[in-house]
Amino acid sequence: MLSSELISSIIPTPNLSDINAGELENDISIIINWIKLFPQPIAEPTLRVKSAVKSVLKDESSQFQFTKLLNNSINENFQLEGFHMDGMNICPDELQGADLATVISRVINTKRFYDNLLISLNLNLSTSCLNLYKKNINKNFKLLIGEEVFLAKIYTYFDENFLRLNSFHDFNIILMLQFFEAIEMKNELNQILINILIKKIKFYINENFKLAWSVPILHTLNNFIEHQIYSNIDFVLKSLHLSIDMNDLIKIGYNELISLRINEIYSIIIDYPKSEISLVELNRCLNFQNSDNFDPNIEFYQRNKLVENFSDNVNKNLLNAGINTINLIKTYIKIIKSFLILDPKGVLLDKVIRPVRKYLKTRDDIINKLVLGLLNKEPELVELSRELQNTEKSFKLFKNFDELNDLNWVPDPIDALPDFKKFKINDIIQSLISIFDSKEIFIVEFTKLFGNKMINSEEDLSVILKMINLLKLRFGKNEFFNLDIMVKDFINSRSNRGMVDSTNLNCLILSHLYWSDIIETPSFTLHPSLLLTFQAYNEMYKRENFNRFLKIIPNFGTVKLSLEGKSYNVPLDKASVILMFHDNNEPVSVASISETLNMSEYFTNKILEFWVSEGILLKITPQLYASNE
Amino acid sequence: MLRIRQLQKKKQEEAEAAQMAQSHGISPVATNRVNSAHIRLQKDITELDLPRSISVQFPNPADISYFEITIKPESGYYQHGRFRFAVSVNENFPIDPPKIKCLQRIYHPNIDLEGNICLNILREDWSPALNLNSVIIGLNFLFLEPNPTDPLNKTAANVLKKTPEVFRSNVLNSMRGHYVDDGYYDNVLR
Amino acid sequence: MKVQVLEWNAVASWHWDLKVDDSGVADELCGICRVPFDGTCPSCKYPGTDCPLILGDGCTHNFHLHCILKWLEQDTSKGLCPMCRQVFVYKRIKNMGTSEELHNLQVLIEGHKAMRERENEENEFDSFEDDVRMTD
Repeated sequence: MLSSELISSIIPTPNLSDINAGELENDISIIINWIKLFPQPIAEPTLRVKSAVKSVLKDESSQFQFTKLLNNSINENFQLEGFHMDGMNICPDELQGADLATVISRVINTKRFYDNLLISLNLNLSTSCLNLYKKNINKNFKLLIGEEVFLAKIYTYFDENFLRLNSFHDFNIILMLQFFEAIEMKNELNQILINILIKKIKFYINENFKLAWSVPILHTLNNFIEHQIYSNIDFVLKSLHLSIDMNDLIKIGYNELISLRINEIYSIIIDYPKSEISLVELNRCLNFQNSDNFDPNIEFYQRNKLVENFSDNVNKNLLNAGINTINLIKTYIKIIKSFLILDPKGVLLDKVIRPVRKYLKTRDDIINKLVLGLLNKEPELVELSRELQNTEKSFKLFKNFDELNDLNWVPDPIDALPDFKKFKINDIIQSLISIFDSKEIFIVEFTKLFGNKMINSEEDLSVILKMINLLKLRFGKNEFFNLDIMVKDFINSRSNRGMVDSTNLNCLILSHLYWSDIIETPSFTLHPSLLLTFQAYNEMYKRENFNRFLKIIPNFGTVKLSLEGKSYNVPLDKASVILMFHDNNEPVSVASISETLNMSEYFTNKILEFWVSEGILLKITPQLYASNE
Repeated sequence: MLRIRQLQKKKQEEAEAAQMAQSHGISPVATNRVNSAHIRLQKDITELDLPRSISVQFPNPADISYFEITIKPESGYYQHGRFRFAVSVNENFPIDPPKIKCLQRIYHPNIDLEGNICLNILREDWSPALNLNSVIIGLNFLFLEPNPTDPLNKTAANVLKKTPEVFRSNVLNSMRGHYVDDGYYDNVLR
Repeated sequence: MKVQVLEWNAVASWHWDLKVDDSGVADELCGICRVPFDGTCPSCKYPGTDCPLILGDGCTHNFHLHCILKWLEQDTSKGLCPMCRQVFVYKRIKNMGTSEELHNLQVLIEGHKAMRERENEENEFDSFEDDVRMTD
């Protein structure tokens, strides 16, 4: 390997001993003689030596030449194996093995030796020559102590003793700091200290705040930074005539916390609302600005990273067939709420929500689930119905859909920015419904759902009306005209009940065009006795409503029957089948029932089996049934 | 007829009142009339069943109450011409007939130089039972069989009645954009 | 076995009882608005009682009452049925339309009738003049 030792052994570098000719010969030999004492204990140079030096260093160029020769001599000395000083051997290899205190004290002694050398020679070197000298000797010190290994040692030392720095007495910390200053390694030390405190803060954060999403932590973190970090580091830095701003330390802490939270972000949002406080604090961290050193690039990077990490997790964990639609909707709601805490302007939300919206749209049952949620028929999505009840919010919805028709429309608040668009995403119902280009499909679904409830008498009319009114506030009141007609049918039919008091028939009379999504083609004909009752009713209806008549819809409605002293409430198909056995103790064939009622044999059999299971009928053969008397 | 007029006046007053109310943001009912025309028009448009020689263009797809049709007669005097018409349908459709105007200056006994068209079903014989399709087919028929007995362009009608051969060459010249009887016409062969 | 029906909650649909035409099929759409009769005319919200039909008496054509009113309000309608262009006459049926609506309908039909009669008189006068001229 090519080393400086090897080079100098082949081509000896010129040094002070080389200045031995010309007019300066005398003076130089005097200096050389004096220097030859070196590195022996330093004696006061004689006046003659001093005057020789003076004459040698008279002009700038000879100063410069002298400095170079001096530097070479120093380099040679440092390179000497078994370099001696104060009777001690300080070879670099040995130093590297020594403990930190030994290294430092030896280096300081060496440094002092050279300083004394200069002082005793009273060298009034020019500034540039002095710098040349300092630069060279510091280089030698760094070489001597083996810079990297040494700095690693320093790092370990501060790392291990960090929390005791303030009260550290058994090691002369002042001396050490002076040493760094002396050999001009203040910057390196500064870097080490910053690395250590970042490490300390990071460790503390990871140790204490991982998964801690439901309790406020910023206060604790601030305390730690102030009392454990700042007070210690401040002492060290002051000794170095440096200082650090408390806010910069806090920013370092917050950045570390942000990194942790970015890694956890998906789980945090899934954990919402339990994790709400962590989102509030994360928002504070993201917006914390330390006075001078604020770097918008970092903020930009962090926000980007947050979106990126969250979106990756969404792709991996959420947008797949294994997640059911209800959970998707729940997560969607969580994303909206939590991202608006993180970034109330909605910019981040806008970015992360897009892929989820796109995916939600592909779910076949999404509309149905949303509708159930809004109507409080899906306990898992109770949040949606709660949102719907919140009528204060509804006035500003569908501004984009309905602006012209909505009489409740009010303009944006005057302090809103010209590009104020937040209303588009900050409302959960609005956000979910706007997944689809038109609200029409929701209206259709609501209409179907309420229609079914009315036709099957499953819900109280007052409840239905209340829900419809809430929906009208959200979707616009003109959107539910079909449902309005259905409701009117329902109400009219009720008031009809008194009309025909001679029969035991109550009839819900539908305007069939508006119920077409609900009523199906009948799959059977009523039993003749039921038909007779209905025809009587129909006649009365015609008398009241000229030129109108009724058609029975056999697939809906119920009949209350009294059978063998028991009463049954059954649909019309079951009633029609059992009526075939009225006043008839003979067995009846499946085929004849099927023919009379225009019902498939399969279906007829199923109903017959029902009555057998109720103990009303007996199965005589697979084709014959009779009353069980 | 007086009493009909009275009724109409009453209706008009009601409409004006509704409009006033609407402009003050009170009543949404008045929008129904626009809708009713729109619904019926939509039906008519979806039910359009026209021969290949007739095409329909909607310059603004958001507004179906105005569109243009192009008729390219496949036989007769006007064969090879391309005749463009503007159709506009008002809020009172189908009680009021659609309004159709020819967009070119053409030589035709039943169409004047301003583009007004004399077609019975667009005027006195209009009925809401007619639809857009029947009107457009009727218009097409004017180019297959120009009718000299009910003219808007009397000169052309007279020529057709007296000398069909002169009429034929006049039509050809006019379609090329030439002058006929000191009057210029638009080139409809392009 | 006795099967006794105690109570029946039925679901039924109402329909206009429409006249069938010559081909035996009832027209289901109003000839004016093209909406089914069992639905509403374009200006009504609720079908049925609120939006009654009018059955032609001279012809077999039926319309929403409100649709035929709008048509007959036009001078150009000449009081004719939009479908067959016969003079429109309607069947008077109880409970079909409010008395005000039916009154308006009656006024319109009579107005058109008066108009036609006057035109006929003018025509007769014209032809009388023609006759006079011819005798000259």
